[in-house]
Amino acid sequence: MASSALPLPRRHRRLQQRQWIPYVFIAPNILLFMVFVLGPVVFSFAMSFTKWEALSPGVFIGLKNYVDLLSDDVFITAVRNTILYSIGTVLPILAVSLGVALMLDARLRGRTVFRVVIYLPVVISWVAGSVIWRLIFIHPYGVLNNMLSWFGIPPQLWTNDPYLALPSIMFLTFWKNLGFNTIIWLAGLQTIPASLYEAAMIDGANRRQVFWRITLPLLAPTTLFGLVTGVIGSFEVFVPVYLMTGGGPGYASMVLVMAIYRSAFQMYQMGYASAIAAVLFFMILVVSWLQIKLFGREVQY
Amino acid sequence: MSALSSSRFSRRSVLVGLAGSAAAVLLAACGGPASTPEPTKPAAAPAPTQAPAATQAPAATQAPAATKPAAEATKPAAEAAKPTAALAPTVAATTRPLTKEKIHLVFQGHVAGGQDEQNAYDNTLDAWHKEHPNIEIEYAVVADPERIQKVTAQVAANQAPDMWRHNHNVVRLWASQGHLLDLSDRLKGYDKLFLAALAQCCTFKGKLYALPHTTDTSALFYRTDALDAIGVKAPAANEMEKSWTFEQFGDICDKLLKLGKQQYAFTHNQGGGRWLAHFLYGAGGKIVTDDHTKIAINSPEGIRALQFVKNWTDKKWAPVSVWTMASMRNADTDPFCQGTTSMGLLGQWNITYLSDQIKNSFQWNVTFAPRDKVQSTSMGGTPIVIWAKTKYPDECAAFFEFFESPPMLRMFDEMANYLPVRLDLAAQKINYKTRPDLMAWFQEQIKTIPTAWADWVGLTYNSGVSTIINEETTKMMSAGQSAEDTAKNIETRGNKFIADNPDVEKK
Repeated sequence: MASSALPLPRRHRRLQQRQWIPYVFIAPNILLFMVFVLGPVVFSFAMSFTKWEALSPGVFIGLKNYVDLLSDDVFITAVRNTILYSIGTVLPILAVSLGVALMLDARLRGRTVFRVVIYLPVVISWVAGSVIWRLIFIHPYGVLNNMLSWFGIPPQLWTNDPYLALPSIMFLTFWKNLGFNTIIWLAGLQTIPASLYEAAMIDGANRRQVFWRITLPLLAPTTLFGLVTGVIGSFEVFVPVYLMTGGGPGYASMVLVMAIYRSAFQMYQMGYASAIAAVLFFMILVVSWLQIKLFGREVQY
Repeated sequence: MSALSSSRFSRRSVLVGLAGSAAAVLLAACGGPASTPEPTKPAAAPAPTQAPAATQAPAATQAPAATKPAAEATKPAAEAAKPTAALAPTVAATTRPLTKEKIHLVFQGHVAGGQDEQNAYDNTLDAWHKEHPNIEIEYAVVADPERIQKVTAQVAANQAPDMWRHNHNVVRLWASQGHLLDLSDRLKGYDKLFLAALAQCCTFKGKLYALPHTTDTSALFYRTDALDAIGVKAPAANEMEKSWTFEQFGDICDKLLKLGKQQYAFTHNQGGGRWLAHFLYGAGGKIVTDDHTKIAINSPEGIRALQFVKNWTDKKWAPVSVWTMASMRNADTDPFCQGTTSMGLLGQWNITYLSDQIKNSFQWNVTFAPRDKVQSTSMGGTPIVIWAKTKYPDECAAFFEFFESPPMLRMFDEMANYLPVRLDLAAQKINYKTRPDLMAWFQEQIKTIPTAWADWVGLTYNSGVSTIINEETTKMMSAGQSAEDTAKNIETRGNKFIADNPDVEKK
């Protein structure tokens, strides 16, 4: 059409040129994301259909890795332990850290000192924290066993006991993550307008009613954030498991990321490790989707 | 149509462009460095094949007197040879043509033995740089636990160091995949210079791909006051045939516990699989069948060895945590240093640490590890290899000649308390820096590496089956699994792994 051949007005031309600007700003990030995240994810997924020993060419074996997973006791234990670890860490940490945040939100003397103390484990690296707790748990000379002896309780195996190994790691996680969640709750609490509390008090609401009817509903976005990031983080746990138990004794405390490491770098089964990684990816995807689907619509921003 | 929507640069086109760029970057990364090395030597002719003068007559025939082989599977590999060549007073200069350019080579490895070992590396490199000032070699130190992972990533990325310290159990696998330089022509005759078991792990299909450099083994350290208190005299270094049997060792542990001076009878470093060489092969068992296609541990001998190890925790002879604390620095040695145990089944590389820690707190000595039918020992140490794609294969080979020459190896072993890997050095007196009086037991014990153990170490499925064995024995040690069930589980899981991942020569 003749009209389409006409030159665009100058304002439109400028607008058209300016369209590039946001893309230029996000391009480095997207490029890095594609190279270091998306590319490896796709590559790993493709590898999961191969038998690959790291330094030799992979051989396509279809779904064999996935079929083998179904009868692999180590993998099944890892799935079970990952779910147990997730339930045993995320919910208690969210609940306790909310209580601590409520206390630290009140006008207490020395509140800043308490906040620092609660947050301190967060700034300690996972490696240092794991080594410290390994020494606390060590049998029979660890600090914890020494304390138990004051009450006449015999030394426990802790990380060497197939039933206590995973709870020991959960305890470390609780200690390490409590501060982070407390700070997130505190930030959430401070976004709730004081006028709502004042109005509730004037209407005669008691503390319990205020908490259940005002505080908790208005913390829904924080709860959702804590839940989603907590569950994802718990599904990806590796460092404390690797350093405290190595997935043992036997494979009693094996979790999925440790199982990936074990297959890839101890047994040189890269294809098999990729299949476990793909399962983990879909588990996180489904659980996160479910959380947002179930709790997301309750959230008021 | 708005001006924006009629734009030639839609969001989709930008994303497609970025995806294309990302793909290009990924492809470029996979392609390796632009200067992917095609060997560029100053001389086109192949390297000379002459071995250093001091090592040209490596073969020998006499067995060491103290070793007592009883079965084919446990035949000491060191029996095969005895040195005849004298040590050269200085390092023989290489006769191969080397580059005159100034080059920088990277030799990657770890430092297991502390400052003394670091000093040994420094001394070696100083001596090399004096002779070859234009060929600079950097010893790049990496942490031992991540050593193989790191070099795996480097090789996959085509960015490997020129030389590195490898593990015995992956030499054949990597050689079969073409990542290691074939040393057969460049270092002719070297396969006959070393303890036979070590050399065996360095060859694949008759070609030499690695050189042994250090080796080590474990023996039994003890407090002299503890054994004196129960009236037991430990076998001397020339009394290997009197080394304690499983039953004698168990009685001694029980007596020590009854005495109650130390909380446990002994500590150990056997959790990572060393126990297999000492006790499984010592009991006459083996891990895999001779054709390497099946697990053979589920046998009366295998169960006997497993039961012996299980007794360590069942009878409270040793703290159970030591079994799983292998990766924790000094977790195996500290109970002995701190007086919590009367004995320690530990390595000779621990001597410097023990000496530093114990000082004059108590007197301590060494005797042989317990045995069953025969004395048998593990094979430690790390062989050295050259990357198949190094730009300077001859220069690397020349460095290996130098590094493995008797004067350099002797200096290294003396400083870092390692056992000699060369047959000529193995028969000579080494002036160890720390507690040389203890080394005689280790020198005798290293001669009892079973050839079947060396076979097993070299198998390409070794890493996978070792992981399974370790998991099952840990269940036995801390979760009450019986020795019989442990053997059965290892057999079932191990056979499945071997069926899926046969040794590279069985494929």
